[in-house]
Amino acid sequence: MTASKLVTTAAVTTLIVIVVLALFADVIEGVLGVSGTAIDLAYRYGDAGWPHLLGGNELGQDLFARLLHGARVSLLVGVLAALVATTTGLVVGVVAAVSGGVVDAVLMRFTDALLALPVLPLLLVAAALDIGKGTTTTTAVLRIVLLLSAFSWMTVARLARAAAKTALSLDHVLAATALGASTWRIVRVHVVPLCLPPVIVQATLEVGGNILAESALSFLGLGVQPPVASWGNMLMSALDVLKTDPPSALLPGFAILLTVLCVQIVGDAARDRFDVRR
Amino acid sequence: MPSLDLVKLIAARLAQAAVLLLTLSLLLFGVMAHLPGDPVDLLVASNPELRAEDIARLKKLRGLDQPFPVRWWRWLAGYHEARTPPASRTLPPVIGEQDLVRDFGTARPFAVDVVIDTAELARLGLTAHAAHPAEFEQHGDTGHLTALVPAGATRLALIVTDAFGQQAPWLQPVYVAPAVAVGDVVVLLPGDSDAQRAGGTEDAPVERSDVDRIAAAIAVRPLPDDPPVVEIPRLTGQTVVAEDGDVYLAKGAPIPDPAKYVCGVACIVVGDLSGLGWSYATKRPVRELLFGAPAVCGDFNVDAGEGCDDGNVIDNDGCDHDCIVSGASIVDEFDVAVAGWLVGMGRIGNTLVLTVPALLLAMLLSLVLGTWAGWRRGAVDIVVRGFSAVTSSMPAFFVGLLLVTLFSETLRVLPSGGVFSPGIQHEGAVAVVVDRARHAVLPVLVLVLFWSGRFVRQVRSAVIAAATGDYVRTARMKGAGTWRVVVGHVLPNAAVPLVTLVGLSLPALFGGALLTETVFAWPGLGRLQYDAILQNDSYVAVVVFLISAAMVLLGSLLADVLVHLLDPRTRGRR
Repeated sequence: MTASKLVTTAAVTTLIVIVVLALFADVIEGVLGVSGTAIDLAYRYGDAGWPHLLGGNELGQDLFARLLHGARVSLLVGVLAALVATTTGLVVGVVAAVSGGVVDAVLMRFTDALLALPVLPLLLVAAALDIGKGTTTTTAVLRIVLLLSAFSWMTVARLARAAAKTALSLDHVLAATALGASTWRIVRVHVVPLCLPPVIVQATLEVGGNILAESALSFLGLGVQPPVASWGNMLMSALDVLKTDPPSALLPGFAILLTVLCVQIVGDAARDRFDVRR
Repeated sequence: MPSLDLVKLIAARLAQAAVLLLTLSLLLFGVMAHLPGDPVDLLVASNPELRAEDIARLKKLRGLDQPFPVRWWRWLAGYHEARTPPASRTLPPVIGEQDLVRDFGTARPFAVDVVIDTAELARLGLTAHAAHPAEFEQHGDTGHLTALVPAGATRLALIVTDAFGQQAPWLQPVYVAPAVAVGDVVVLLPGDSDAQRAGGTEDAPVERSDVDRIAAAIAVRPLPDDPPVVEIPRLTGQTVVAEDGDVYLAKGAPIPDPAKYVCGVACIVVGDLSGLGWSYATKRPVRELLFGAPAVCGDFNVDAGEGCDDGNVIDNDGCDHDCIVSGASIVDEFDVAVAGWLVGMGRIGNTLVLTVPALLLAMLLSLVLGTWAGWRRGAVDIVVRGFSAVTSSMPAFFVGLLLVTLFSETLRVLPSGGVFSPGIQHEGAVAVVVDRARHAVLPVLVLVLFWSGRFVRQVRSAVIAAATGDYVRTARMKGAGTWRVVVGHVLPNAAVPLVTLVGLSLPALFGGALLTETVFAWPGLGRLQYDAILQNDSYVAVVVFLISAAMVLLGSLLADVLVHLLDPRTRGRR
């Protein structure tokens, strides 16, 4: 279908543009001569124009520059949390599948138990435990990444375990075992590569979920804490001025929408590509 | 016909759920114990007059000095509830309170020096509250309470409570009896049997000297050993002071509350509902927070208007319903009682009011749209997929805020938040229902958008999968129309994933609306959970968490059972 290919291409392009903009946020700030962090009370709710492309927010910070900084944190949180969760899940799933027996049972019961718990309340309890920590960008991002990944690796673990089980029963893997290949070699050469497709698809989908989860936590005051900008807390802090200054409230919201939408489209496309049934 | 397999499945899963929930509750107690600042610590921070031994005594009284496994065990065993005095929230009705209400505001208030040494009270961890229009002012320096009492009023009630809002077991309402001169105070002390019944005497005995010291500052009259009983079901167990100063004990069968039976596995596991514990932050029992309290007189702001002669009589349920006047119309008693119940609904009721209609609507909508899109494909499919993709990529609270801006602030057609308008309970049951429905429109809309966005995707793919079956071609060849093929062949075959979906959305009924509740200031379960965690209100946090966990487990069990019943392929398998 050409239409869906077109959509996918558009999504990929948009994501690339967003990532590039986020990566070069500082450079863009420098070129435009604006700042997303410096408070300029003379420029509160300033009008859009050159060089302030989108105007100013309630503190007179440049909205465009701030969006870029927020993009950096939000994307970083989304991708890093997905990576950590995927790696954890992959390790747990493969270890469970390869070891079998008691280890398998214990690991999977634990996974199932965690899966059975409501995620948002868990996040709330965990976030309340260490609220206030993370005042620099690095620590703030790290805190959210750990929080989000702690409660999202379970799906990957189950996918990886299923894929690894299938891999272990394949003829060439049995042959490798018969030839005396070590467990480590079998895992490395035969099992993990076969687990990767479903795991990668899941990881892609989780990036979007993580960005949304971060914004939800921020909305509840438990996410990335204000001096550091994320789309979530930008949205949160602009809520009071939704009526008087719509852009500063609407733009982070639409940035989240656009990014998560694109990530989902890419994830779906990846799933279709890897899905052997089609 | 339930097969043996099914019974085994259910039994095994319920046993697993019980073990998981028990373990979880213990873990949660551990986590909550490590959140900074327990309720007594917070109290100490706000009251520097407390001495170290008082703090220790308070902690001991609350069991906060124990390690968390002990606290957990006591909670399980309902230990905490046992020490909650029966009269925990309501002010015993003082007959003739209408006089107070009617006179207040018109007459010039004068001051009555109620001789209660508040410093002494505070040292004991007690505070005095005025629960009536008579306003109390506390003079921290002198340590005295001053009451502004309407002219002509001879009666005045105040409650002495401990730091947790519970009536101190040994201090019953202070009451200025009509016969007593202005400035005189009478304390009703329960008899020894009452003190024992109220608990709090086993490991932290109430020192007699404490009572004596307070008693020395105020006139004391002991509660009769065996007070006469009046039939006031709603106030069962409370002391009621009649107009002539006589003291009665309220009794009567408790009113059955249907909401009690909706609790689920969590309650079965943790035992009797009464053992849910106490909320430090709101100073009410957890049970009452969740399920609501029966309306009491105080909720109604009884306004004895013209032609209301019997305003001073306590009727058989303790409220003067007969004469509640609202504007020009006299609303009948039943109506107001129902309205009061609706207004005073607990957190669970509030959440269900939101989630049940939303879930039903979302399912209906996604069933129709998903079937349509999956069957016809083409343009409809593109629109439906787009809708689903967009809603699942937006933060729910963002959409909620856009709707509030549009409908409440720009168009001004719907309320922006809350559950009901203040004072609506005086307008009767119909008005309350209409008002509550108006408040629910926007949050329900948000939930429907999000849930149907998620469901429609599942329905669509289930229908697409079912539509490729041979039976569809066969039915077509036999001349069946589209309607017959879809309803008779495709949907039944798509039923299994849909039933799973129903089961998996059960938890959403109870906990799925936290963000929406926050946007719309809706006091539901999700909001309760959030507040409890942030305020370290441990019993509430644990109970609500267990409810949502129980719902997840119950939902997946329900899904499995339904699939088992619907799909013959799953039956033979072990």
